[in-house]
Amino acid sequence: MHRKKRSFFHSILFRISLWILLPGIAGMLLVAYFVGIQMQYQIEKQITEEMQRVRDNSLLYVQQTLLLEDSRMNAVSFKLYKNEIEKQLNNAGYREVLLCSPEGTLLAGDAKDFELRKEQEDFIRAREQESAFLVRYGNGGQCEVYFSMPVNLNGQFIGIISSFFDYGELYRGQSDTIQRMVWITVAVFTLICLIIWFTVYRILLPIRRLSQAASEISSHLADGRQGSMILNKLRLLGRKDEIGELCSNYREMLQVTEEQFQKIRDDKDRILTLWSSRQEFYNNVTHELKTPLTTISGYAQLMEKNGPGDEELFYIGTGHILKESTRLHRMVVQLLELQDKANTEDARRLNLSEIVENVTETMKIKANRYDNELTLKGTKECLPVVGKEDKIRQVLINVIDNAIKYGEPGKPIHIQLTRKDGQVQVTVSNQGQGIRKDELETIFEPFYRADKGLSREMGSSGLGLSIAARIMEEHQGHIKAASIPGKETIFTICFPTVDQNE
Amino acid sequence: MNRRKRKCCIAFWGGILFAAALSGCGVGEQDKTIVLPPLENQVMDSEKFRLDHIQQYVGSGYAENVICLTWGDPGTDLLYLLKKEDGGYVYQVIDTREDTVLSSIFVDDRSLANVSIAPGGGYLSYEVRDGEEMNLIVLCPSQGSRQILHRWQDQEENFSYIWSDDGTMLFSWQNGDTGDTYKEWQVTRYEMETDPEDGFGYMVVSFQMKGNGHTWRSVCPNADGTEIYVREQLSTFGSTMSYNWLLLPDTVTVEALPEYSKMPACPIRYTQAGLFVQEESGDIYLIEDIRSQPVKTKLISGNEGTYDPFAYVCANGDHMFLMEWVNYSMYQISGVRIADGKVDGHPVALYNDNYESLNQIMIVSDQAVVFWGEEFLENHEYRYKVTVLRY
Repeated sequence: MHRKKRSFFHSILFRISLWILLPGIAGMLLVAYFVGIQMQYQIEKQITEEMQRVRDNSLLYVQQTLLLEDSRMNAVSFKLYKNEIEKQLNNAGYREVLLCSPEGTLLAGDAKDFELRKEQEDFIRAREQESAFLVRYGNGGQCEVYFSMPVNLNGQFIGIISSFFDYGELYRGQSDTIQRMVWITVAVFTLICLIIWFTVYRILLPIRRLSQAASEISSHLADGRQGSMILNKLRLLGRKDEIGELCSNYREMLQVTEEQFQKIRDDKDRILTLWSSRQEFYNNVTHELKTPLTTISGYAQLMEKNGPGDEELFYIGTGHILKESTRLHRMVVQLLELQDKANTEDARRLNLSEIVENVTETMKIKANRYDNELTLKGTKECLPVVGKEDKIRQVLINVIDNAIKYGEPGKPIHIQLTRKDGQVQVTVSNQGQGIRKDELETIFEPFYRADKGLSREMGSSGLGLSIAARIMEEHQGHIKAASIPGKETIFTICFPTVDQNE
Repeated sequence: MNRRKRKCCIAFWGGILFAAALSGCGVGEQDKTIVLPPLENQVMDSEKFRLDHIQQYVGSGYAENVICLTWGDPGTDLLYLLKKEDGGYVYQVIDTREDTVLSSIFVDDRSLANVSIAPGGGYLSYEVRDGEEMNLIVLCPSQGSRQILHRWQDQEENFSYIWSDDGTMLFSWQNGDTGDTYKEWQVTRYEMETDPEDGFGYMVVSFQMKGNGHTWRSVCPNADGTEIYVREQLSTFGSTMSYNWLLLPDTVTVEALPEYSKMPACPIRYTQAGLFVQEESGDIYLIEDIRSQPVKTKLISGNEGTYDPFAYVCANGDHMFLMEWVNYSMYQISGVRIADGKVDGHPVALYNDNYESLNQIMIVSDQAVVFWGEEFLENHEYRYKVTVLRY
């Protein structure tokens, strides 16, 4: 497995940047646009209010000029005192004043200005007796206002006044203010974006490290090495926030996985070993079964060939057939015992001293046959155990039988009962060729024989110790062997102790 | 689900692109025409208050030499003024139509203070120092004689003066903003009597007022000087304490009047229609029946003390004029009729001019508003200019 390379454009950081930066920029542009519109609206509102005052004042100036001249309020007087009115308006701060008749002909003012303005909508409106102004926005912050109004005094339309006002300074002032505001907003937004970006980067950094660690760990999974130690390198475990919690959980998960992997590996080894043992077991079974069958079959064929006339062969043959069939029968029985699942439900409290004493007494006959002497110690004390008497007897018989068969003739076999380390132990020791150290671990496996020729000669099936070990396992005890090759071999049978009062 | 998500994405980014495109457009170059609303109410109001004529007179000589002036009775077009010349103060009568000086009288060569010319120009009052004392002197220009009306120790008291509308009675009182406000003070009426044979004399009626510690003192005689409204008030820490009296010089009696305002109020004029006052908020009220149960009617709203209009009311109380600053250099005088104790429509703008032309406003004979100031000539001289608005 190789680590996937993540594109920056698919990262959370990029997405957050995209979702904050672009809407933010768009929002600022929109705000700038609408603020501009609002500014324009406010300026026009202000100009409208000022033009209303200009209209009122203009009417007042015309009226007071005509009153000062003691004149009537009509178009003739307006035309007659045009210069005085123009002067009054100029004194009041009006610029590029045009005075026109109600029909729209120029009375006073610059003719060039008149030619430019007479087609403007404000002037056309004034001729229709409406006051209006034209705002002309230009590049570079120009804001020119052309105001035209009808002069209505005492209900008579006596003329038109048109003048120019420059609002460029106001417009530029407000534009500059808005521009400054926008730039400040941009700066603040940029700062906020940087802070958010940095914060998100910091938040995502441990997640990226975790991702890298997971990637590295996954690359080692195939080898069976989880590499949870990689997490420790990330320096994230000390954190008390959500990242630290995630990392801690992740590490625990890895540890569980590691344990599970180890278990699977052990199970695998065990299965392989079991498979191997089973194979060997079947090989041994078939081999052990084939050997007596070959003998029986051989003698049977020979006796068939020679016929009933060969009396010597008949006796020898039937003897071998009987011996091998007996051995075969015993082997089959032992194989069944080996496979038989122990039933300890009907186990009961037993006095091990009595059983050992009884078995020793029984086995003394066979020991005498092999010129061995059985010595027993430690049976005076009652040593209670829980189990099935016949099974325990079988264990003791198997072990003592082995000690007799493989012991050196003439040498005593010591049987001793002891209470040690919370256990009741029966040790059976003999003197003889002993068992090599490398064979000690395998003597409890089925069909194992230290000396195969000798064993078979002695009628051993190679299943006795396996059955004994199996029985002890069922009794929550165990059996072990220790040997000094050429000197002494000791088998120790351990039972769990039972309280005297139970 | 994916299609919906895609649509949302397209809508979102489309919105962003649209916003960017929109903002890119900007205002740019454009023309826009806006039509103003019609002047319906203003036209109707202007019908209710009209000026008959505007008259202006620009006098010779520098404006700064003119101490005070007043306009003569309607139809005479005479101007009475006191000006300072090299030898001292001179009282002049000028025919504005002919632009000629009809008479010129030397007044004094000492420094004059609190100069006031009686309406119609019959008398001139002023204060002048005489040693350690101050003298209140009234000059009768037609006879060339003068009378010392009052003497007092300098620095003890400051007086204010006002003439009755007919120009025969001078009222004086001590200001409350100087001296001991707990000391008794007087409201005095000097009634001038001029006889071609007996000469120039006067009668005095004085009211002794208790010093209440109040700083603001207002004295408003009615048009013929038979009633004098007096208000004394003190405004401290948001509370106002005030007293109102009506002095009746003919019977030498004093009437205590009930209070009509919870705020500091400045009396403008006491007329037949009632008392006109302007409160601290700038609102102008008419108080009727001040002697029994005052009825307070709001006439004009102020601007909460900021650029409040200055109000001037004629003797009959049926015309009110307001002076307001249009901007830092322009003022406007507007007028409104008062009928049945209420304003008749909105104030109508009557006159606009530069601030230089306004030093003092006065109402003459209930037919004209007169104000004078300065006019800047092209030869860099300031001349005094008198403007008369006849209504």
